[in-house]
Amino acid sequence: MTRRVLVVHAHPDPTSFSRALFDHVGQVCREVGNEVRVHDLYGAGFSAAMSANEWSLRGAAPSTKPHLVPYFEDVAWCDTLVFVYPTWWSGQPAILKAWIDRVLANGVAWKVDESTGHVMPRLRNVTRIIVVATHGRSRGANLWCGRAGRTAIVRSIRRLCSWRCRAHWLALHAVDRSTRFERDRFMQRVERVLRRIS
Amino acid sequence: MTALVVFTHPRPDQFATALLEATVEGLSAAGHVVDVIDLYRDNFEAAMAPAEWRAYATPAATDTVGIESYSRMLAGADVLAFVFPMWWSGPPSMVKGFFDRALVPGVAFRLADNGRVSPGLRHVRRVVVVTAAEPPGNFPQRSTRQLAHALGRSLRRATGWRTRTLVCWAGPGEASNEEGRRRFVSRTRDRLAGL
Repeated sequence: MTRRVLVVHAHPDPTSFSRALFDHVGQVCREVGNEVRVHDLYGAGFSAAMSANEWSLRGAAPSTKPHLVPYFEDVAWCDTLVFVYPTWWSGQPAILKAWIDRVLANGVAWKVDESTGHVMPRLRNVTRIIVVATHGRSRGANLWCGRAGRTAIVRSIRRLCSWRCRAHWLALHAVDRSTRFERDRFMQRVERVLRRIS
Repeated sequence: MTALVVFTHPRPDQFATALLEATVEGLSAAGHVVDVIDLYRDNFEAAMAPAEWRAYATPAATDTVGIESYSRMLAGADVLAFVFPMWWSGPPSMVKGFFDRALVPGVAFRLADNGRVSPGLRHVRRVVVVTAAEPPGNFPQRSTRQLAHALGRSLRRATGWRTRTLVCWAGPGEASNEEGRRRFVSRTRDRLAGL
């Protein structure tokens, strides 16, 4: 099955391991015949703060924020969301948190039901979420800190996707102390998952 | 005793302003001298720049333009308070940017050559989180309060093991009506005054 894949990536350094993972994800997805779109947030100069104007338009239709419309369209287009990022302070880098805050907006990712006041999902087109995260700290330390990054995606965002959406959490811990072998093995694991779901 | 309040809101409405005021008043009543950082007013750049990333583990990490004043304020703080709206079951990107960029090695912690991390903000005795849920933050309800706690836990890497965290959290039921908001603001003020 051909999938429509949106890859969101945030790392300031183009020589980093996270960047290498991002390039590899794109390459593997194209190899197996998927359609791929990418949001390389640093490359695109994405603003890392929701502006006061966007804040005041938070209840308005997506078309009132024309500068974000291409992002909205990609999110509505994809059926697979891939996040590739380093974990800083047990969460996403600020620029990726800003992508979540700004792009997954009212009318795009969710909508409030007028009669009940409940949040209604709008990302029903998304059936898979894949997170490729590197961690500086060990698995245990990350667990103790509450895994804020994992919760934000695997619980909050997935809640707005298709009811049968599955999330794959692929994490490499203690990346600063990792060996070449461990990094290669992790890259193969990512590739395996991408090939399996395609 | 000094308290540092990090405030974030793109356009402070009555509720956000009231929360900030309650935090400042409460901490003052507890006998602290209160400093406030308003990240939006400072036009803080939340994204870590490539040059900063390259300098991260080096002594140059503390030289970043625009961060020095924050480093000075952090160096004197006994209480570190964060006031923000809860977006996507976590702090807004601005607060995350403050963590990423201001709490760097040399300020928040020290990196030894063998990779060990030792806290650099041991003088911070308390971490305070004041936050209110906002749509779509009104789901999943079970995790949002835990995440506010998680903020204090990950900060212990910088503040040491004896630092305690106080979370003043207004859930969606409370934050969505006038009466609940007023109650939350006054409760926050009282709790902070008791520190």
